[in-house]
Amino acid sequence: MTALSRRRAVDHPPLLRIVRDQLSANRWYIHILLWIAVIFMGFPLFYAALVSTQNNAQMFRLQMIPGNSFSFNLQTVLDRNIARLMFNTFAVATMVTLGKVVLSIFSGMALVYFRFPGKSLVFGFILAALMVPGEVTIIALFRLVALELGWGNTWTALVVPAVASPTGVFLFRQHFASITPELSEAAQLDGAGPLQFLLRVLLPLSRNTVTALVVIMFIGAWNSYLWPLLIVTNPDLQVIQVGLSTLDDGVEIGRTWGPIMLGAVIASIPPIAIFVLMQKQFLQGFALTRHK
Amino acid sequence: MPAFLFTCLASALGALVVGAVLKRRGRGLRGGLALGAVAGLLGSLATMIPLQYCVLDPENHMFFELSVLGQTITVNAVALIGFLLVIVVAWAFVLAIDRLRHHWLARGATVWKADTAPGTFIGYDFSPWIFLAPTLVGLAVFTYYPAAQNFFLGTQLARRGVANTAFNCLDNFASLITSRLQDAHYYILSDGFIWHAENARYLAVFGNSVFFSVFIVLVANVLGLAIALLASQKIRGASVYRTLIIWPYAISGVVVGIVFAILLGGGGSGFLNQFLQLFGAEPAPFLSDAWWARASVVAAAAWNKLGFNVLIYIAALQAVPMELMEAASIDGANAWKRFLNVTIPMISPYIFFVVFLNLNYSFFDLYAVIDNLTEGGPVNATTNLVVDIIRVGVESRDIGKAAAQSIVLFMVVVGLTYMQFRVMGRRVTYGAD
Repeated sequence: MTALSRRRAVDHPPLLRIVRDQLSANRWYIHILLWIAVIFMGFPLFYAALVSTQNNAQMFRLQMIPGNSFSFNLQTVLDRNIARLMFNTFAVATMVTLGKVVLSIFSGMALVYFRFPGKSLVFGFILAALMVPGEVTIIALFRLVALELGWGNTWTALVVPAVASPTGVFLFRQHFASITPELSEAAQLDGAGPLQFLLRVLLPLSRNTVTALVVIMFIGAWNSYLWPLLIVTNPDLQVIQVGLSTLDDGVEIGRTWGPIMLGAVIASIPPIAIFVLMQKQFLQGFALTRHK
Repeated sequence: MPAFLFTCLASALGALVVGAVLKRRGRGLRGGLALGAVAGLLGSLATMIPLQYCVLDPENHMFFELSVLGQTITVNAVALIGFLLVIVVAWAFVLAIDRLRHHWLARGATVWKADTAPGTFIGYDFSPWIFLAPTLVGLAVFTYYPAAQNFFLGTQLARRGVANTAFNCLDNFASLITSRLQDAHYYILSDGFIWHAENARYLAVFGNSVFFSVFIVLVANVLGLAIALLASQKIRGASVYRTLIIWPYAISGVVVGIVFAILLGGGGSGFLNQFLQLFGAEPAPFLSDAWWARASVVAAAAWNKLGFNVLIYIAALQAVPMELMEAASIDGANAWKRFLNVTIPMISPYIFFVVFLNLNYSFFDLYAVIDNLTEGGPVNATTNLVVDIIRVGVESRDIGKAAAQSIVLFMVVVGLTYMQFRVMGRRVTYGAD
């Protein structure tokens, strides 16, 4: 392969050079089309940010420059306790993500580094749960958590049902299985137990997988809406996605869109930041779940 | 006595059908007959014992009318669904028994491979179970138990917030297709099955789900691939373009719904309508007309997921070897031909992957978008299966009927998963991985 490319670099046949020029499309219209795509993708949230500085009158006038109501809108969302909502969401999403990662690492480890009867059955039991989307069980889960367990209006109801993650187990099992078994044999010869092996050898080798899972799970937990909407009614415990529509100023007739849009923009910053900064790990996480 | 007759009938029918099918596939008639008889017996017992044979009780009925070539027939929906259920379960038994038999025969031929499992820790019999316990308990309690509970609740008269329930046969299922009894007309024509679903609410809801899925998948994939084709070129600032295009994927469905509500808002007040009015166009009823509202949901959801598709397709396109493109180009293939005959086959595994993820998303995860954009309206025009489950189970407090709907949704999952395995199993990869 290297020999081939080196030869090409030295003497291009003329035809291939023409073809290369044709294929490497550094043309102006590609840039134009890409900018159209960028504007198309960016416009909705850009407009939301614009409205977050306006009052209803300015918005309905289709004013395309920032309005003068930003400080009023900010005051409104602060009065409606957006800080509390954001903190709640952050706390719940962190607990869910942490729980998922820790439990998935332990389960993945059990499935790769131990021998026990019924291992393939256990793995099948976990994998089959991938097939059941939460929406299918949500009515019965609601009945179970609210009525039988009595966890309505608690963070327990938001965190505990979410921490067992078949996706995470699958991800770590695949990752651990791809690590050479000689490492754990060497660790055993050196007298290390499973926990020591996990902390000293496995975790340092799994940084990318952990990051990938954290990104996917945190964005998912941050954006979850239906379950908190059903199970939490106490505004002090509520998360931002459900709380957004309560960010009205409650004075004008109908909805005041400025504060709601400001809330929407604020609520979108953490997941967007994580997603943009961690694109590579995110993609890698999906690649891992896809293969095999 | 009718129960005994029913079981015998199911067994005989199973034997007949499976025997005929297997014979046509060139397998022995006797085996097919036996397999069908056993599956029919087990299928009918497994469905009818939990249902206490209530389907056969003439007191359990919910009728709907069927027009066949001008003749009106009255059909008992409870019995119909009961029989369909027996057929489905019996068919599952056929597949399962056939699988087991296969497995059993194959086991004799191949030597059972001893699991040498290099690198496992020796002498820790108990710790794997401690490591697994939280996950297994979590899945059992919060996934499998509610899933099983659905099947129980689906046959019960159950109200939200009330612990007691009462058995009501298959009424929850029957009421899905006979709601507004008199209005649900079905027409079977000689060339197919056509229903007039304006009044059959649940069928319309099901139709909405299918509509959303088809168009979201179509829009998000065509646009996603087009943008990825541009953004995967070797041009200056490619990674900046990519980042600026994919970020809306991280936005929540709630924010998407709210933002599109002010973009598309009705009554000429939304951004797009005001913008159109600047050019003298009539305001369009984006959220108040049924078809416009459906299109709006598709647009919002497709916009949300486009970034993900672009991200995956860029990765896929960059994995297509340049040498292939060069070779095709030298052979005289123009850009379109290269795309059709080189690019598409090379990235086909990624296309399947993205399409199935989008399908799953548009069937199950649209609740936040719909609830904040159209609230399922106007008049249920954008209510899909999940939104309807919440309407029925939480807002109307009819847990039994919502559980029945959840089971229908579960059937959709099973269907999608089956499709995925079939397609993925047969896919052609050309080594693009």
